[in-house]
Amino acid sequence: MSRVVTVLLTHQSQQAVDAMRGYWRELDPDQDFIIAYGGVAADWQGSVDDLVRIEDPQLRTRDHPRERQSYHGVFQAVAPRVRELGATHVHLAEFDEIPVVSDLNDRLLSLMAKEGCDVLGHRLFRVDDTTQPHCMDHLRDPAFLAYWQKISRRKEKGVVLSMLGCGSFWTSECFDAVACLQPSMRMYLELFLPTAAHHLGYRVRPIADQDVFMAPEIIKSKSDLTMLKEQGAWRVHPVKEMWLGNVK
Amino acid sequence: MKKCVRKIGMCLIRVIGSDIRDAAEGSLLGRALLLSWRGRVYLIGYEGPPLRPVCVPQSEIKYWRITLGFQKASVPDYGRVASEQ
Repeated sequence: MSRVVTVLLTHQSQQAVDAMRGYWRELDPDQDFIIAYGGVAADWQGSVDDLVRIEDPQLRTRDHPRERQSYHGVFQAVAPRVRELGATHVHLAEFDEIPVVSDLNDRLLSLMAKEGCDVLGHRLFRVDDTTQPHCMDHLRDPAFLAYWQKISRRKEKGVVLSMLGCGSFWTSECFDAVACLQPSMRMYLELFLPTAAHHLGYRVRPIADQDVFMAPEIIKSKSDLTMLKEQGAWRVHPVKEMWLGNVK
Repeated sequence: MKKCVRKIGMCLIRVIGSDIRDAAEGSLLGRALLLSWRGRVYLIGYEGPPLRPVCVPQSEIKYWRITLGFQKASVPDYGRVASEQ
Protein backbone atom coordinates (compact mmCIF):
# COMPACT_ATOMS: atom_id res chain seq x y z
CA MET A 1 0.00 0.00 0.00
CA SER A 2 1.50 3.34 -1.08
CA ARG A 3 1.49 6.32 1.23
CA VAL A 4 2.55 9.67 -0.17
CA VAL A 5 3.91 12.56 1.84
CA THR A 6 3.88 15.90 0.07
CA VAL A 7 6.68 18.21 1.11
CA LEU A 8 5.58 21.80 0.54
CA LEU A 9 8.56 24.13 0.42
CA THR A 10 7.62 27.67 1.34
CA HIS A 11 8.79 30.92 2.92
CA GLN A 12 5.35 32.56 3.17
CA SER A 13 3.14 33.60 6.09
CA GLN A 14 1.07 31.36 8.35
CA GLN A 15 -2.12 32.33 6.52
CA ALA A 16 -0.53 31.48 3.18
CA VAL A 17 0.75 28.17 4.55
CA ASP A 18 -2.70 27.28 5.92
CA ALA A 19 -4.37 28.19 2.63
CA MET A 20 -1.83 26.20 0.63
CA ARG A 21 -2.09 23.08 2.78
CA GLY A 22 -5.88 23.40 2.86
CA TYR A 23 -6.07 23.54 -0.93
CA TRP A 24 -3.83 20.49 -1.37
CA ARG A 25 -5.74 18.57 1.32
CA GLU A 26 -9.14 19.43 -0.12
CA LEU A 27 -8.02 18.16 -3.51
CA ASP A 28 -6.68 14.91 -2.06
CA PRO A 29 -7.10 14.23 1.68
CA ASP A 30 -5.40 10.87 1.41
CA GLN A 31 -1.84 12.11 1.89
CA ASP A 32 0.43 13.50 4.59
CA PHE A 33 2.11 16.90 4.50
CA ILE A 34 5.38 18.33 5.66
CA ILE A 35 5.76 22.09 5.47
CA ALA A 36 9.44 22.68 4.76
CA TYR A 37 9.79 26.26 5.92
CA GLY A 38 12.72 28.20 4.53
CA GLY A 39 11.65 31.73 5.51
CA VAL A 40 12.50 33.80 8.55
CA ALA A 41 11.81 32.36 12.00
CA ALA A 42 8.55 33.41 13.67
CA ASP A 43 6.57 32.41 16.76
CA TRP A 44 3.67 30.88 14.86
CA GLN A 45 5.92 28.20 13.38
CA GLY A 46 6.22 26.42 16.74
CA SER A 47 2.50 25.70 16.81
CA VAL A 48 2.34 24.10 13.37
CA ASP A 49 2.77 20.35 13.87
CA ASP A 50 3.76 19.45 10.33
CA LEU A 51 6.27 22.29 9.93
CA VAL A 52 9.99 21.62 9.66
CA ARG A 53 12.27 24.64 9.69
CA ILE A 54 15.07 24.59 7.14
CA GLU A 55 18.12 26.34 8.55
CA ASP A 56 20.41 25.67 5.58
CA PRO A 57 21.72 29.02 4.21
CA GLN A 58 22.29 27.32 0.84
CA LEU A 59 18.52 27.33 0.38
CA ARG A 60 18.26 31.10 0.72
CA THR A 61 19.79 32.34 -2.51
CA ARG A 62 18.77 35.14 -4.83
CA ASP A 63 20.42 34.14 -8.09
CA HIS A 64 19.75 30.44 -7.64
CA PRO A 65 21.98 28.87 -10.32
CA ARG A 66 24.93 31.22 -9.80
CA GLU A 67 24.79 30.86 -6.03
CA ARG A 68 24.13 27.14 -6.46
CA GLN A 69 20.95 26.91 -4.45
CA SER A 70 20.70 23.60 -2.64
CA TYR A 71 17.76 21.53 -1.43
CA HIS A 72 20.08 19.18 0.40
CA GLY A 73 19.27 20.90 3.69
CA VAL A 74 15.58 20.32 2.93
CA PHE A 75 16.20 16.63 2.31
CA GLN A 76 18.23 16.27 5.50
CA ALA A 77 15.70 18.14 7.64
CA VAL A 78 12.67 16.37 6.21
CA ALA A 79 13.98 12.78 5.92
CA PRO A 80 13.50 11.87 9.63
CA ARG A 81 9.86 13.06 9.46
CA VAL A 82 9.32 11.04 6.26
CA ARG A 83 10.58 7.96 8.12
CA GLU A 84 8.31 8.68 11.12
CA LEU A 85 5.28 8.96 8.86
CA GLY A 86 6.09 5.64 7.21
CA ALA A 87 5.67 7.16 3.77
CA THR A 88 6.51 5.08 0.73
CA HIS A 89 6.80 8.07 -1.60
CA VAL A 90 7.74 11.73 -1.34
CA HIS A 91 6.42 14.50 -3.54
CA LEU A 92 8.66 17.56 -3.38
CA ALA A 93 6.62 20.64 -4.26
CA GLU A 94 7.29 24.36 -4.06
CA PHE A 95 4.67 26.82 -2.80
CA ASP A 96 4.01 28.08 -6.34
CA GLU A 97 3.29 24.61 -7.70
CA ILE A 98 -0.48 24.17 -7.87
CA PRO A 99 -2.12 20.76 -8.37
CA VAL A 100 -5.22 20.87 -10.57
CA VAL A 101 -6.29 17.22 -10.49
CA SER A 102 -7.52 15.36 -7.43
CA ASP A 103 -5.75 12.12 -8.33
CA LEU A 104 -2.31 13.64 -8.79
CA ASN A 105 -0.58 11.13 -6.52
CA ASP A 106 -2.30 8.19 -8.24
CA ARG A 107 -1.10 9.49 -11.60
CA LEU A 108 2.45 9.91 -10.34
CA LEU A 109 2.42 6.48 -8.70
CA SER A 110 1.10 4.88 -11.91
CA LEU A 111 3.75 6.59 -14.01
CA MET A 112 6.43 5.54 -11.55
CA ALA A 113 5.23 1.93 -11.69
CA LYS A 114 5.10 2.03 -15.49
CA GLU A 115 8.63 3.43 -15.69
CA GLY A 116 9.89 1.15 -12.92
CA CYS A 117 11.81 4.09 -11.51
CA ASP A 118 12.69 5.65 -8.17
CA VAL A 119 12.54 9.32 -9.16
CA LEU A 120 10.29 11.18 -11.58
CA GLY A 121 11.29 14.69 -12.56
CA HIS A 122 10.59 17.45 -15.02
CA ARG A 123 12.93 18.57 -17.78
CA LEU A 124 15.17 15.62 -17.20
CA PHE A 125 18.23 15.37 -19.44
CA ARG A 126 21.69 13.89 -19.43
CA VAL A 127 23.82 17.01 -19.61
CA ASP A 128 27.48 16.07 -19.06
CA ASP A 129 28.44 16.44 -22.73
CA THR A 130 26.10 19.28 -23.57
CA THR A 131 25.82 23.06 -23.62
CA GLN A 132 23.77 23.09 -20.41
CA PRO A 133 25.10 26.16 -18.55
CA HIS A 134 24.83 24.81 -14.99
CA CYS A 135 26.74 21.70 -15.89
CA MET A 136 29.44 23.60 -17.77
CA ASP A 137 29.83 25.86 -14.74
CA HIS A 138 30.24 22.90 -12.37
CA LEU A 139 32.63 21.04 -14.67
CA ARG A 140 35.19 23.82 -14.17
CA ASP A 141 35.75 22.39 -10.73
CA PRO A 142 37.49 18.97 -10.79
CA ALA A 143 35.89 18.16 -7.42
CA PHE A 144 32.50 17.92 -9.15
CA LEU A 145 33.23 14.83 -11.24
CA ALA A 146 35.58 13.49 -8.57
CA TYR A 147 32.65 13.37 -6.14
CA TRP A 148 30.52 11.28 -8.48
CA GLN A 149 33.51 9.02 -9.18
CA LYS A 150 33.77 8.46 -5.44
CA ILE A 151 30.16 7.63 -4.66
CA SER A 152 28.94 6.08 -7.91
CA ARG A 153 27.67 2.53 -8.02
CA ARG A 154 27.54 2.68 -11.79
CA LYS A 155 30.05 1.73 -14.47
CA GLU A 156 29.73 5.09 -16.25
CA LYS A 157 30.78 7.49 -13.51
CA GLY A 158 30.85 10.70 -15.53
CA VAL A 159 27.12 10.94 -16.19
CA VAL A 160 25.50 14.18 -15.02
CA LEU A 161 21.72 14.61 -15.03
CA SER A 162 19.65 17.75 -14.73
CA MET A 163 16.00 18.22 -13.78
CA LEU A 164 13.78 20.93 -12.37
CA GLY A 165 13.90 21.31 -8.62
CA CYS A 166 10.16 21.39 -8.13
CA GLY A 167 7.62 18.70 -8.81
CA SER A 168 9.90 15.74 -8.36
CA PHE A 169 8.46 12.49 -7.03
CA TRP A 170 10.61 10.03 -5.08
CA THR A 171 10.47 6.64 -3.48
CA SER A 172 11.22 7.26 0.18
CA GLU A 173 14.16 4.83 -0.01
CA CYS A 174 15.82 6.91 -2.71
CA PHE A 175 14.91 10.20 -0.99
CA ASP A 176 16.53 8.94 2.22
CA ALA A 177 19.65 7.72 0.43
CA VAL A 178 20.17 11.15 -1.19
CA ALA A 179 19.51 12.89 2.15
CA CYS A 180 22.29 10.83 3.74
CA LEU A 181 24.95 12.05 1.29
CA GLN A 182 27.55 14.58 2.40
CA PRO A 183 28.63 16.30 -0.82
CA SER A 184 32.16 17.67 -0.77
CA MET A 185 31.26 20.84 -2.66
CA ARG A 186 28.31 23.13 -3.23
CA MET A 187 26.21 21.96 -6.19
CA TYR A 188 23.13 23.44 -7.79
CA LEU A 189 20.06 21.44 -6.83
CA GLU A 190 18.94 20.86 -10.42
CA LEU A 191 22.16 18.91 -11.01
CA PHE A 192 22.74 17.43 -7.58
CA LEU A 193 19.37 15.77 -6.95
CA PRO A 194 18.98 13.66 -10.11
CA THR A 195 22.71 12.95 -10.44
CA ALA A 196 22.96 11.80 -6.82
CA ALA A 197 19.99 9.47 -7.22
CA HIS A 198 21.44 8.11 -10.46
CA HIS A 199 24.90 7.41 -9.07
CA LEU A 200 23.45 5.80 -5.95
CA GLY A 201 21.98 3.29 -8.39
CA TYR A 202 18.40 4.50 -8.59
CA ARG A 203 16.46 4.88 -11.82
CA VAL A 204 15.50 8.45 -12.73
CA ARG A 205 12.88 9.10 -15.42
CA PRO A 206 11.08 12.13 -16.88
CA ILE A 207 7.48 13.33 -16.65
CA ALA A 208 7.97 14.62 -20.17
CA ASP A 209 4.45 15.45 -21.33
CA GLN A 210 3.91 17.67 -18.29
CA ASP A 211 7.06 19.79 -18.70
CA VAL A 212 5.29 22.64 -20.45
CA PHE A 213 2.96 23.16 -17.49
CA MET A 214 5.91 23.33 -15.09
CA ALA A 215 8.26 25.55 -17.13
CA PRO A 216 9.51 28.26 -14.74
CA GLU A 217 10.03 30.82 -17.50
CA ILE A 218 6.32 30.70 -18.44
CA ILE A 219 4.66 32.58 -15.60
CA LYS A 220 1.07 31.45 -15.05
CA SER A 221 -1.72 33.07 -13.12
CA LYS A 222 -4.56 31.79 -11.00
CA SER A 223 -6.99 32.44 -13.84
CA ASP A 224 -5.03 30.10 -16.15
CA LEU A 225 -5.55 27.01 -14.00
CA THR A 226 -8.87 25.86 -15.50
CA MET A 227 -7.63 26.32 -19.05
CA LEU A 228 -4.37 24.48 -18.33
CA LYS A 229 -6.27 21.65 -16.67
CA GLU A 230 -8.37 21.31 -19.83
CA GLN A 231 -5.13 21.16 -21.81
CA GLY A 232 -4.04 18.18 -19.74
CA ALA A 233 -2.09 19.68 -16.86
CA TRP A 234 -1.78 17.67 -13.65
CA ARG A 235 -0.28 20.64 -11.80
CA VAL A 236 0.87 24.09 -12.78
CA HIS A 237 4.06 26.00 -11.92
CA PRO A 238 4.88 28.78 -11.22
CA VAL A 239 1.76 30.53 -9.96
CA LYS A 240 3.43 33.09 -7.69
CA GLU A 241 0.23 34.93 -6.85
CA MET A 242 -1.74 31.89 -5.69
CA TRP A 243 -1.49 32.53 -1.97
CA LEU A 244 -0.72 36.23 -2.28
CA GLY A 245 -4.04 37.29 -0.78
CA ASN A 246 -3.04 35.32 2.30
CA VAL A 247 0.47 36.77 2.62
CA LYS A 248 1.00 39.41 5.30
CA MET B 1 17.48 48.03 -17.43
CA LYS B 2 19.61 44.90 -17.78
CA LYS B 3 16.47 42.81 -18.27
CA CYS B 4 15.18 45.24 -20.88
CA VAL B 5 18.44 45.11 -22.88
CA ARG B 6 18.41 41.33 -22.64
CA LYS B 7 14.83 41.21 -23.91
CA ILE B 8 15.65 43.42 -26.90
CA GLY B 9 18.75 41.33 -27.63
CA MET B 10 16.77 38.12 -27.52
CA CYS B 11 14.12 39.55 -29.87
CA LEU B 12 16.87 40.57 -32.29
CA ILE B 13 18.43 37.11 -32.17
CA ARG B 14 15.06 35.55 -32.90
CA VAL B 15 14.93 37.64 -36.08
CA ILE B 16 18.51 37.47 -37.33
CA GLY B 17 19.65 34.21 -35.71
CA SER B 18 19.77 30.77 -37.30
CA ASP B 19 17.46 27.86 -36.70
CA ILE B 20 19.11 25.27 -34.51
CA ARG B 21 17.91 21.89 -35.70
CA ASP B 22 18.58 18.45 -34.31
CA ALA B 23 21.29 16.99 -36.56
CA ALA B 24 19.71 13.52 -36.45
CA GLU B 25 15.97 14.20 -36.41
CA GLY B 26 15.80 17.59 -38.08
CA SER B 27 13.43 18.95 -35.45
CA LEU B 28 13.65 22.63 -34.57
CA LEU B 29 15.23 23.13 -31.14
CA GLY B 30 15.48 26.92 -31.06
CA ARG B 31 17.19 29.89 -32.61
CA ALA B 32 20.58 31.40 -31.91
CA LEU B 33 23.29 33.59 -33.32
CA LEU B 34 26.37 31.55 -34.22
CA LEU B 35 29.65 33.43 -34.10
CA SER B 36 33.18 32.16 -34.43
CA TRP B 37 36.17 33.83 -32.85
CA ARG B 38 39.72 32.63 -32.30
CA GLY B 39 38.93 29.07 -33.21
CA ARG B 40 35.85 28.78 -31.02
CA VAL B 41 32.17 28.86 -31.88
CA TYR B 42 29.85 30.93 -29.73
CA LEU B 43 26.16 30.20 -29.53
CA ILE B 44 24.40 33.40 -28.50
CA GLY B 45 20.84 33.65 -27.23
CA TYR B 46 19.86 30.00 -27.42
CA GLU B 47 16.98 29.15 -25.07
CA GLY B 48 15.95 25.61 -26.02
CA PRO B 49 16.80 22.26 -24.44
CA PRO B 50 20.48 21.44 -23.74
CA LEU B 51 22.48 20.71 -26.90
CA ARG B 52 25.17 18.16 -27.58
CA PRO B 53 27.65 19.29 -30.27
CA VAL B 54 28.17 16.57 -32.88
CA CYS B 55 30.06 16.04 -36.12
CA VAL B 56 27.45 15.59 -38.83
CA PRO B 57 28.06 12.58 -41.13
CA GLN B 58 28.81 13.55 -44.74
CA SER B 59 27.02 12.23 -47.81
CA GLU B 60 30.35 11.94 -49.62
CA ILE B 61 33.97 12.35 -48.62
CA LYS B 62 35.04 15.96 -48.43
CA TYR B 63 38.46 17.14 -47.26
CA TRP B 64 37.77 20.85 -47.41
CA ARG B 65 34.61 21.04 -45.31
CA ILE B 66 33.27 19.43 -42.18
CA THR B 67 29.89 20.09 -40.66
CA LEU B 68 29.35 20.51 -36.97
CA GLY B 69 25.82 20.39 -35.66
CA PHE B 70 23.81 19.82 -32.53
CA GLN B 71 21.60 17.18 -31.05
CA LYS B 72 19.12 17.52 -28.25
CA ALA B 73 20.49 16.14 -24.98
CA SER B 74 19.37 12.58 -24.33
CA VAL B 75 16.79 11.59 -21.75
CA PRO B 76 18.37 9.19 -19.25
CA ASP B 77 17.09 5.63 -19.34
CA TYR B 78 19.42 3.76 -17.02
CA GLY B 79 18.36 0.68 -15.12
CA ARG B 80 18.26 0.43 -11.36
CA VAL B 81 21.41 -0.99 -9.81
CA ALA B 82 20.84 0.07 -6.19
CA SER B 83 19.37 -3.27 -5.09
CA GLU B 84 22.18 -5.20 -6.77
CA GLN B 85 24.73 -3.96 -4.23
